[in-house]
Amino acid sequence: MMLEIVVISMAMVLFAVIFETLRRRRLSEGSAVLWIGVGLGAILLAVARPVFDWIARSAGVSYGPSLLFAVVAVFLVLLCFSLSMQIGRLEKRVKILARELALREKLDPEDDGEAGKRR
Amino acid sequence: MSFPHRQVLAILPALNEVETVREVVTEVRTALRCDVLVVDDGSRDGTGAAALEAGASVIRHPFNLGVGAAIGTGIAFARERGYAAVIQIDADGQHDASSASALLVPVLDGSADLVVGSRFASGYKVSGARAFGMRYLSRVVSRRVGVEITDTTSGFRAFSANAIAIFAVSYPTEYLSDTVEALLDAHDAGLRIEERPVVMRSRMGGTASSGRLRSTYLFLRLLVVILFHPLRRRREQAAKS
Repeated sequence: MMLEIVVISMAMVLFAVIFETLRRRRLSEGSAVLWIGVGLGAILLAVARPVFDWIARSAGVSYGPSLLFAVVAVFLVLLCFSLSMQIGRLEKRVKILARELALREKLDPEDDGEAGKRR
Repeated sequence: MSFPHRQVLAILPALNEVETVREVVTEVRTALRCDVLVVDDGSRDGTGAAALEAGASVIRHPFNLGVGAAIGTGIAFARERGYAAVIQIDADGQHDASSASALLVPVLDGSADLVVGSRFASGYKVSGARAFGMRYLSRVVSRRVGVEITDTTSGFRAFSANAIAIFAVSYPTEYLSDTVEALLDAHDAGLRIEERPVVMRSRMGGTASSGRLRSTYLFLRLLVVILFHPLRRRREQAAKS
């Protein structure tokens, strides 16, 4: 019983954080969908523990929580991987932007200084 | 219709539309005789060059930013140049440029700020989950903005100078937000919204964006957008801070 209460109240805290960051436009709606899903998943697992234990046993895992740890670890690894891919894409874009800006702002005597003067 | 230079700007957001963009620019230039701006959203097929050849002004994004960002760039350009109205038309040829004047009239006579062209008036039909989604969006958005909008995802729209001033600050860039969320933003900013029937054709080129898992995600995302919209900070304010 205690575990259910702890998990559900943590999910509520998560929902409150999602709500506030979303309201301030710090969190994108797309990420909100993911995190609301995570919160709902946590509640579902806490409430339907017998079901989860049954899934664990039929997957050949004798101790339910260790399957949970495995699932959460896989989720976090996938999340990290997708974030590092996104960082890579952003880095590439920053380089493209910096180069385009630099070309536009160049100081070249052949350009009679026009490009440099804009701004 | 015919407009003097720098009165009405047609904005054509384009991504890899080299097959159709030339034809569409020419069509818009004959039907409306207004200035045409193609915002090339990072195409890799020479869309921008083709548009320039056909007589449009071209702004190119260095990489793909999404339709909404392309419209936002176009509107910011219109604001900079002091245009009185903007008409947004798809570069894939599905919007019939001869219907554009019907959208521009209310914007130019000052009776509306954002006019949406509805494809349903001309007997356009969709089926299945997509039809359900579009009906749901229509109901929710109509209730919020207080005007019946049947075609919330239509990208055939006219903007007044007021709307240009609001949307030049910030325009929703995510897919589907560029149409649906923009309506809610417009209403919150006090813009007057109207819907008018237009003719839409099946697209001349390009492909529709779909995929079941992605559609589900997009629908859930849009649900979050709609549900939270009244509670959130206004987009222009968030952009300024």
